Amino acid sequence: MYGQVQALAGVSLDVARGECLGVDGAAGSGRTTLLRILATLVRPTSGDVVVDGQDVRAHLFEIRKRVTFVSATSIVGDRLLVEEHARFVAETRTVNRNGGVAASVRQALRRAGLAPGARLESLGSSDRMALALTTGLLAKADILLLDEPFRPLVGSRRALFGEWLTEVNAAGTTMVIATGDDDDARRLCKRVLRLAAGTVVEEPS
Amino acid sequence: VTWLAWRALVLIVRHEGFLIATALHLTVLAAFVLVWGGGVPVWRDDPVLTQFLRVDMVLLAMILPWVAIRCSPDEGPNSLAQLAATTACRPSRIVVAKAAGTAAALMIIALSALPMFVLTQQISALPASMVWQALLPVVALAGMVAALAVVANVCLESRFSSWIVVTVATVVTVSLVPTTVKVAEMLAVVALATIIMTTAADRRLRYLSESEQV
Repeated sequence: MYGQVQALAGVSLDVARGECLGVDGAAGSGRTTLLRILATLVRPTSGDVVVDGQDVRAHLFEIRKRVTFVSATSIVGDRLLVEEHARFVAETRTVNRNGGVAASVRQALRRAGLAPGARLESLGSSDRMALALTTGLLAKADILLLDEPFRPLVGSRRALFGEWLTEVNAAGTTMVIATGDDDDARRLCKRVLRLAAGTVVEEPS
Repeated sequence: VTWLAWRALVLIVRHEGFLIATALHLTVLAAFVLVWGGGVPVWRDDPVLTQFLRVDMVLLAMILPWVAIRCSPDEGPNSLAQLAATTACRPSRIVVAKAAGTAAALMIIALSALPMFVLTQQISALPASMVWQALLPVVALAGMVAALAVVANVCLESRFSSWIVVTVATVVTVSLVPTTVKVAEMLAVVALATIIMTTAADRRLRYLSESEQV
């Protein structure tokens, strides 16, 4: 509930470890809200969300260390350079520091086709989403929550990140992808949940 | 926390207002030394170094709040909550790091006047240690303004009201509190502000606000 608006109602789902679940629905269907609740950014007014047996309300900060939420709005701090932002996120989220962070950041940016020296404020929507995805992947979280990752991407980037996400999922990362395009969801995920007006209209099978 | 503080510092230092503020600070102080290098007639009893410090404190009380609010990125409670989730850090760590980064940026402005502090110490024929003693309130002021600015950022909606509140609090502290207790008072404000921001942040910045959610 947001004030008087009920964003989601009666949504119940299980996501297995290492699975990729697609969440499909039109704008306003509640898919972003669902992802934000899973990312612990929004407190559910009722119901339970459990990650590996831990309730998200009680273990919020522990769960955040294992979850990465990627959306077009994840990038803040426009005066930073692309490499600085990616390094900042990678460094703050990396537990094991063996001096390899800088090298893996450069390698990831190269793969994403991003100019390390570009200012964030100069990035277009495709570059911004590419950077959000790259930093999300660099975080190496157990659970990756992606909100409309493909819509802003242009050219070969859709295929590039499609491949990259498939690799990461195959390596054991659990993914939930919210999208308004059924093809994108089906390309990566075997199961797709369909939402409309905050309720489930098609259960994942 | 180091990376969060570094980020806050870089974002402020890269703002064009930071350079303008530093240049204005140095220009006014240089003008003071040029015009009143022999001492201000009405403050005849005080050494030039003390007079210089007095002017610098008043100047910084007006410049530093503006830099702390205007040159910081426009990151309201929702942006900070988002940043906490992105970095998987507690919101309290985010705001403490932001205050540390802001304080570092403000100290760059404050300490840019070091050569003129040395010059006025030479003019006053005082021991060199007096320079460090004179810099203490300047550094404490930078820390106090940074802490107040971050608290205002977390608790108040608009940047304009944050700027007004921080400026008034700073000017009052600088002009009304006697010099002898100024540093201790400013450090007490820093400690209090840190307690407020850490306790408030973990509560207020835990989730996105409802307006952001819709």
